[in-house]
Amino acid sequence: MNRRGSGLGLFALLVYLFLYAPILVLAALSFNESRSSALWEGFTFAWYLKLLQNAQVMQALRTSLIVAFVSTVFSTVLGTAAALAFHRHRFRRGAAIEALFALPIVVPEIVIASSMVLLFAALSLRLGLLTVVLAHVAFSISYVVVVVRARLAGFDRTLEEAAMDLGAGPWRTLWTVTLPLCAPAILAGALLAFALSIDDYVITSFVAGVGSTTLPLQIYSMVRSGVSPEINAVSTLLLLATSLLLLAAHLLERGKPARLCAAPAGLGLALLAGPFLIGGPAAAAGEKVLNLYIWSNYIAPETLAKFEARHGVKVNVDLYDSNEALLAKLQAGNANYDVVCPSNYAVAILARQELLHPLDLTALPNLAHVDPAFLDRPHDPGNRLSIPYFWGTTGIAYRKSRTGPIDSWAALWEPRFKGRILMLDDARETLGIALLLSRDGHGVNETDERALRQAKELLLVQKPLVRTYNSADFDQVLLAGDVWLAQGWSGQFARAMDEDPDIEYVVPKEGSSFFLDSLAIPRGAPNPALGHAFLDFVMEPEIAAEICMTMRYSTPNRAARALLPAAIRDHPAIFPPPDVMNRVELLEDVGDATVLYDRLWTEVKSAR
Amino acid sequence: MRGAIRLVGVGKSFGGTEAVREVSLDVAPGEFVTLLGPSGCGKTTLLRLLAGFETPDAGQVLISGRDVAGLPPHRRPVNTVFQHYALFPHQDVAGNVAFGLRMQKRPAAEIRDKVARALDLVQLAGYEARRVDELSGGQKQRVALARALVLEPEVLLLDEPLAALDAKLRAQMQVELKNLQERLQMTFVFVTHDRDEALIMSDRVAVMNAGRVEQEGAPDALYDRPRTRFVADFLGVRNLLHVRVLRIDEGLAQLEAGRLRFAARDDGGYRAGAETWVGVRPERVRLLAEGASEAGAEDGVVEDEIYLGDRTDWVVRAAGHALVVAESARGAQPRGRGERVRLLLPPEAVLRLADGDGV
Repeated sequence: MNRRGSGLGLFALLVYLFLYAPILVLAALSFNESRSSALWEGFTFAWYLKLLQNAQVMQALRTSLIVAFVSTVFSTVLGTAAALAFHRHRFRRGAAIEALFALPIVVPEIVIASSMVLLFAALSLRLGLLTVVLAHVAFSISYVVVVVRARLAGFDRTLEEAAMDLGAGPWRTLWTVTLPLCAPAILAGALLAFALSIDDYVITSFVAGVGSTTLPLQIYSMVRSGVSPEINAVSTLLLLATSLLLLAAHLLERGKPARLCAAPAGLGLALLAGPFLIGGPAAAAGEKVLNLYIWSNYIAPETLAKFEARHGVKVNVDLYDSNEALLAKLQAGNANYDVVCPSNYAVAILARQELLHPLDLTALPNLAHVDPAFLDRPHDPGNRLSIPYFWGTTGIAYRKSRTGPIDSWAALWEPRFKGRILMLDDARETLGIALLLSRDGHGVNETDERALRQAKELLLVQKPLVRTYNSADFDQVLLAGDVWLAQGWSGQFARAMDEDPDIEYVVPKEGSSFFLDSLAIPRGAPNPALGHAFLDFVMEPEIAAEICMTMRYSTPNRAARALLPAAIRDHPAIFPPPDVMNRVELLEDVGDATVLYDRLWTEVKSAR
Repeated sequence: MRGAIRLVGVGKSFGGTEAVREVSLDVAPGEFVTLLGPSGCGKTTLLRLLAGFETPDAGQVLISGRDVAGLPPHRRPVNTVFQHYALFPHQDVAGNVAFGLRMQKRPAAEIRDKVARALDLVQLAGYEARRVDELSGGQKQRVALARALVLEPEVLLLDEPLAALDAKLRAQMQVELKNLQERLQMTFVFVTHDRDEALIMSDRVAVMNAGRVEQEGAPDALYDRPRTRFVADFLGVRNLLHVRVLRIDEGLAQLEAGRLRFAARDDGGYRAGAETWVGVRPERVRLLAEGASEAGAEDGVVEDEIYLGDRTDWVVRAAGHALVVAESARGAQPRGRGERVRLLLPPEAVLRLADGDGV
């Protein structure tokens, strides 16, 4: 090879490396014994075993595969038919009509998503598996049309004429010549449709409803409580399955005998069929159902099983990843959930929009067990619409062997920790602590523009010291040793402390914020009586204690706290001492100032 | 009547352009007829009208005595050999040849038998399992031929089937195709823009121009007596002159083209004082040495030499006209550019031509 050739070869190698390095890392990490991505602690199949036991992830995988399979079949058939129509007939304004087919590819996904929600609402179509499939078919068709059309554009029409000349009618020409010759393009279109469907998050999060939590929704939802390496395992398996199918398709196109293609095709399909063979909780026909819409890792399957057994019902769990996703779903008005889990400020918004079902407090006797400190809060006076479920504080977790004891937010501004500081990627939380640090006695719910601008300046001063802004897996970054101090939420840090005794959690002396997630029944819920039963169920002391034990979030249930083992009851991160509770403030809806918060936060993040 | 074709006043337009205008043509069963013309003359459209890929706007198409109006391609008793073969790339040689028989749902044994015989006919026995993209151009051409012939059509349509082959292979295929057609006694309608190919293979040639058949006839008749300026030009009559008829005497028409004067044998078509076109084949012009005193000879100067191996073409300027003169290699004498010569147009070599439409 000459010098220039080897140079190009090297370049190609680098491009391939660039393309595939992330995938290789992902596959490797799925076998890593450590939960942290930073260190390799040895080879293990444990995550694959855990994956099989994780009913929620497996159910999401099944849902994704069903949606992908059905939408691929429909979009491939319809898209191929449309492409053939354009190929065979000349329409008036044909080019313009054809361009319309490509439009969904360039229109921002969010526009398609919100318009679909509106359409489904206008048609009074219940959000669920059907709407997800319809949406996926709609956006995949364009890709199939474009891919098949490209193949047909280079198609020698005399081949079709030759077939007709030899006695084949229009249909037999289609079946014996046109379709076989387009098969690679149709297959490519189908694979693209399948990949797009498996992959889609934005549109799905809008149109998903009861029983249609797909894998991407599941993964995004898990971000709040930490994405576990099971997800690496699931991704690796999906990758393997699709690679095998691609290999089979490639062999088929190269004209290899079907016998040779059968092995990879069969193996790939078997991998994809696996989640169905392992089986899942299928609802018996006619069984009553409670539809629960909640964050990931907010309730354990065994707790739900107890409720199911007691009431003879099936609980259907769907997941979301932000209050905004929940708001969008309830505002669309056709989601059919019985119980939802909004944060306190989201409760205020939902209350203003009258999207919540008024609670019948006589049906909730267990509300008596809840600490009054969490009741009758400004976001829901008299708890007429919601009950408190979980709460937690914002504080600093630090590696004490590196930093020594920490008791002030000011530590996050100390130059000696330069490059070892992590801040949440969250407008309210970051501006909140900057407000607390200013000497003028501002609180975390400040709406005064001048105070907020000063807070922003303080964050700009801090920025050179900050290694990263991260709300997703800040606890993992701390565990991995990349940072020494991290701002974050108590629940994740409580689990991090269990893993590494060198980590300490503090709610600084200047005070801090805390969040409160509530349970509520949306207006128009199919079964509000069952919803009340569920709300009362989770407030039973034994059940509330179990939820706290399994999920490690702080429970607002006083009676439950008494039932917890001392290690948890006295855990400084889960149940901070009373003096801490006196200096934390609930994050409230700041109304119009929300826009200002978001703008100032954007300015901080984009500053150089 | 099986294998006969009759076209009556057939016309076809594509969005305002008339591709075929009022064409009437009769083809006898077993005849090899060639449609000859430059690209865009309508010859391929005419073939597609016969195959059924296009429907005529006007006129009638009869195949084997039957009006085929409204019959789609797959119901017509004709088969086509396409210009670029149009072999199905997803099938092997046998699959391609068997395609039509399969469409007719013939029994497998019969299909196997007929495919073998068809491949034998085109000298491709044993090629059944080959992929078509492994074949050479000539082999592909033979497969396309076998695929059409295996159905024993009443008429075989061939759309410039040899155009993509190299010269040597093309010459060989021309002979093979003609022999095959004679053996099968099948009606062939052959489309080409290659004059020599048309003359070598056909029983009859129809020269087309601008959608019309300008002249039809046996190859030799056509070669010897082109009737229009277009046909003459297309058949290699290189010297075309616009002339005025001065007078007619003793069976000779005295003609004048600018300063050039010469005589033509009067075929009864010349009118004294009228203007017309005439043509003279380069090989019929005689070249004489300077000073030769033959009657009617003109002085000229050699302007250019085109050496063609078996003959040499001289471009000679005489009386203001650049005339092409061909001499066979044996008779040719070495001449240089600028050499003075004399040049003679024999009266019997001068062809009277109608001014072909659209030229």
